[in-house]
Amino acid sequence: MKKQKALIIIKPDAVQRGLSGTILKRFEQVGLTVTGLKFQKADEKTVIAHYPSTDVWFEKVGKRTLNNCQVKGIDVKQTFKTDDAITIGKQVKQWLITYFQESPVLIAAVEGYEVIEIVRKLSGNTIPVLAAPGTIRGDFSHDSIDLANETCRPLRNVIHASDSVEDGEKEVALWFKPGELFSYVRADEKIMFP
Amino acid sequence: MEQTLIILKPDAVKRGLIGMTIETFEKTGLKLMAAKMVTPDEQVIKNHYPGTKEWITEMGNKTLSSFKQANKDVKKELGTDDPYKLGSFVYERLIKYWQEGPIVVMVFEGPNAVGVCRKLRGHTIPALADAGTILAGYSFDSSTLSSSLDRAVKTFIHTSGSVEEAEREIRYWFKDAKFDGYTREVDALYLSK
Repeated sequence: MKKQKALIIIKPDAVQRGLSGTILKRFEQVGLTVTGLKFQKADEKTVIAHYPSTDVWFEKVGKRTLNNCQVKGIDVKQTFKTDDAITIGKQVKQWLITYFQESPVLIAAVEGYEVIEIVRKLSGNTIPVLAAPGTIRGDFSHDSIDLANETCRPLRNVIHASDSVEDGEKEVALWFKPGELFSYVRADEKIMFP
Repeated sequence: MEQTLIILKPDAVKRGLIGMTIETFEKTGLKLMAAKMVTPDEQVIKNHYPGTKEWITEMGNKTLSSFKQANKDVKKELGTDDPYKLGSFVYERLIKYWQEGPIVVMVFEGPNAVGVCRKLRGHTIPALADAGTILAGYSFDSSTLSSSLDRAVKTFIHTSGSVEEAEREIRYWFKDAKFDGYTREVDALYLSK
């Protein structure tokens, strides 16, 4: 089996609460290798490129928001001034860009076997109120869709973790230059994986 | 606001102690201002240290006194008791130590940042560090152990020794980088009138 890459971003809400170390520790603890690390304000172009800009993606995000609002009985037209999925998706992306740049963020490239599954498991459900205890989002937040929509802002969900093997590769390459990534063997690696 | 430079050496990175160290400093309310993983070359590591004759001699004197404390014959083990020569050995070993893998260089900011980080890290030599400090809790290394193995003491966290040293070191590792300030949740409780 080959190792895979994932990108972790400790978002501004976690940084401002002083949780960068606590969260990074969980990924090290499970045995992943931190192959790149930096702390900086996310550059706007990079954030824009981080999220897709296709109508398909905007529609997906917009539909999800529409659906969430419907379930919760929230008046979409009042919040977004429209009920068009693509337009809503674009607005959500704009919120995300603002949120990402609220303070510097801690960006880490991690590597390991089945890394995507691990980072997703440790991060928990994207909606903190639904995330299980023991997960990062479940332990450090209880933000919800209702709250976020009520105040016209994106979910503050503490962390970004890559979603798929392809995204992991793509996101690490987007946020890190080749010279900022390193390869080394962890002290406990041969004990864990002889 | 006062800033300090922290460097996590290769053994700390390989043991997965980056998060723990950041957490320890962050918990005090200090603000992480910069971080980067790097593998500096020999010259960059060399120039991190003052490297003057006095400084090298001082390092040699420290080695002399730790051998004396351990009742060991420095001349027999290292071939000389000249402080400058001993200091130069230590210097070389330090550079080798720093090159065992990637390191993490960071800047923390806050009232008395230099003192707070020094206190939490503890004595540079883990065996001499007080209980409760990071080095005491995470290492048993000592001068005698390291010299018996022909290597530097693995003092896996560097933290600036004074405000002046911090200024020099931050300039050295981050050039003219401008750090983006931000607000921590504790700021309003402790930093406003």
